[in-house]
Amino acid sequence: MTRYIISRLLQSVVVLLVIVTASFFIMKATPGSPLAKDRQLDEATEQQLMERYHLDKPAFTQYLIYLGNLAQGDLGESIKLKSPVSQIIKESAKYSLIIGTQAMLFALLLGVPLGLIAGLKQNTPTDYAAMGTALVGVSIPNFVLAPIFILIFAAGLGWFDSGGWDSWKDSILPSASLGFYYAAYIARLTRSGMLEVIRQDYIRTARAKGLSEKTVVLRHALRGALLPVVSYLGPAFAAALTGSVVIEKVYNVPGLGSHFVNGAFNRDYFLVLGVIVIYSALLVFLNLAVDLMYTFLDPRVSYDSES
Amino acid sequence: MTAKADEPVKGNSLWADAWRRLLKNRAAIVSFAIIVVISLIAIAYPLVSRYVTHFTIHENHNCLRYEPPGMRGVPREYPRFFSERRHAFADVDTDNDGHVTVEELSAMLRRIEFAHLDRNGNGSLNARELKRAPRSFLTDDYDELVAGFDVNNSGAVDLDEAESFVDIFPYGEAGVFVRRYDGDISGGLSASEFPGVPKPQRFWMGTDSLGRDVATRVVYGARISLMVGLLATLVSLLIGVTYGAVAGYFGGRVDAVMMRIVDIIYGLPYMFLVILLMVIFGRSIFLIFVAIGAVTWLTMARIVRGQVLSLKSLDFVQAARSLGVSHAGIVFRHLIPNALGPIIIYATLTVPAVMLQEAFLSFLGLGVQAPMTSWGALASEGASPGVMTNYPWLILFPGGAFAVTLFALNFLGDGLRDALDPRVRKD
Repeated sequence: MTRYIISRLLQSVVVLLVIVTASFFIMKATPGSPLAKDRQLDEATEQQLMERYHLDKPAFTQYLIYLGNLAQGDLGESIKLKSPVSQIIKESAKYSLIIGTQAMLFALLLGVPLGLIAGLKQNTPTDYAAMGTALVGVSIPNFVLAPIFILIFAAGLGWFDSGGWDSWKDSILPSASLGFYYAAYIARLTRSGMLEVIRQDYIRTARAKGLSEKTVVLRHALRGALLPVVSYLGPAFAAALTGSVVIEKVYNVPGLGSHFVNGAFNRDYFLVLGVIVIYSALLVFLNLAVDLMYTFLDPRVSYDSES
Repeated sequence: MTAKADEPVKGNSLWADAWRRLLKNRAAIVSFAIIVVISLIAIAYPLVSRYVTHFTIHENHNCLRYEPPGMRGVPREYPRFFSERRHAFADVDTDNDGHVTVEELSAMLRRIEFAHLDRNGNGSLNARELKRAPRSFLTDDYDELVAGFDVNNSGAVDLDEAESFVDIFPYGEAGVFVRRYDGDISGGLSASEFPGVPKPQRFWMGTDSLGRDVATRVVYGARISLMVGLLATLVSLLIGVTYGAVAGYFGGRVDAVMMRIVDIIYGLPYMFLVILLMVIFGRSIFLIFVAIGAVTWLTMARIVRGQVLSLKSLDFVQAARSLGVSHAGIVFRHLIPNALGPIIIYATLTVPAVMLQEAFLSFLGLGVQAPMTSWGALASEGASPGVMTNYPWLILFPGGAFAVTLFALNFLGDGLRDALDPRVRKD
């Protein structure tokens, strides 16, 4: 197990290195410089700034300097916003993380029961209704759903504000509109997982032992049925964080996404790279966590023996 | 038993079987019909419609902005010809030869715009009037500008002198107009060809911030969205199938390395990379296909590899090999056709996924650029703060059209999977 974790961590470092390298040289290959939009700069100041951000050195040297700083946990400084990237990310990632986490919770709390019921009552009107709803859910893009939610719950019923972020209450609509798609997808996964598991021998054995239907479903079947859901959680959470870029725009939330897009437009190298590094690290970590969670849910999966 | 006894028994091929199963799936057939109808509208409507959605409405004619759905109004296709009745055929036909040429039309356009700028109607522009021109000049000193344009030293800018800045594209616009109504292809318009003031008609989906008909915009958006969906899926098919087939066919170390690369790319935050690519290399529609296609081929590669891996040990591949068929021949003529079922299923499901990604990019302002539009770009306009609560039809119609299309595509994909892959069938 330890060996597996270590090898996965090493692999993650390679992945991160690939990402940083690719992003760095894509940014460098671009025409335009982060200083280009400041027309007022005189030559001396520009020179000074170039030196400060090492922009006067060859691209490869800049790359090495960046990697060196990164290894020490230094994400550099935003050239446009004139403050440390780590601080910007710390401030804005909060919003993205809250929205993303709540969206996943929403998705699980809605999707799993829905899929469970649909799977248990296969080919009944309940099943069709649940799966019809789920198919609608995976077909409505979140940037359409979000404005519709605003129209209904903010503009129509007046329960929420339509934008901004003053209190926790303002995170409910963004999280729900982001999580709806994943709730629908998880419902579909849970249903097909249930259908597969419920016919298996160990379920028959559990029933034969005389366990109550509730115990059979919740303790035995659900555990197996949730495997596909668990493996979906990692990528889903990552996708939810990307998707929150759009949600942040619709709800006017000052999250990570707007910093990324603006940073890319302004050629704010370190800000863009910082966001990518943090995001990728999160993604890699999530994938690892999901794979490890597998061993707890499915005893057959083991990473100890190399086959 | 009967005369048919000596005929060979005709088995059902996989495809005939799948087709039969698909026909029984009513939801999938309805979805398929919806997709066909939407595609037909998207292809045919611009050919028969008199609207040209890519013409933005001139700033001075803003009376039809944000009209709610069902409102009646004059189509504002070429508002400057239609909006003022005094520009009838006789007015435009300045040399009175019964024939309006592109030159005459463009001269008329220039006169109309000049008249709009000329507030006091004295036939020339002073500094104050020049300030209203919808153009940016190199300097803000309008007295100096007037002096610069004023070649004949009359103290103001007259029509001839204003030529360089009053409407710099009249010729092209007039040319489009003439070509559109020029029935006998004479290069000009006769009195009978010259369109009159059109009848008011309804805007079933309302109008947008520039007074454009939303229904027309939704149809044009469908063209781009569907095209991106198809072409990007094609790109992803091309890469994914080739990559997966090669990895599966050669197996061993080649396979291990190739699939490890796929694993690593899987871990990339690819949407961020696409955003980066779009920001940096401009936003050509071609790049959208390639960028999206290039990040969606991974799952396809995995599926094809798995198929090829299990197919390649079968007898027909051995037979082909012993006949001396080349590697490429075996992969493309024998293995891939036999893996077509899963490929079709996954490709059908890739189309809506890809359309969503294009919409995502367009929504962030990184996708197709004006004057082109897509459902994502339209939704982006409609979902901006202030617009969506006051003019909800701007988000509801494009968003609704998009959702219905995605719904149909997903349903069709599910149906195809049930039909082509009986093992995962629902019952």
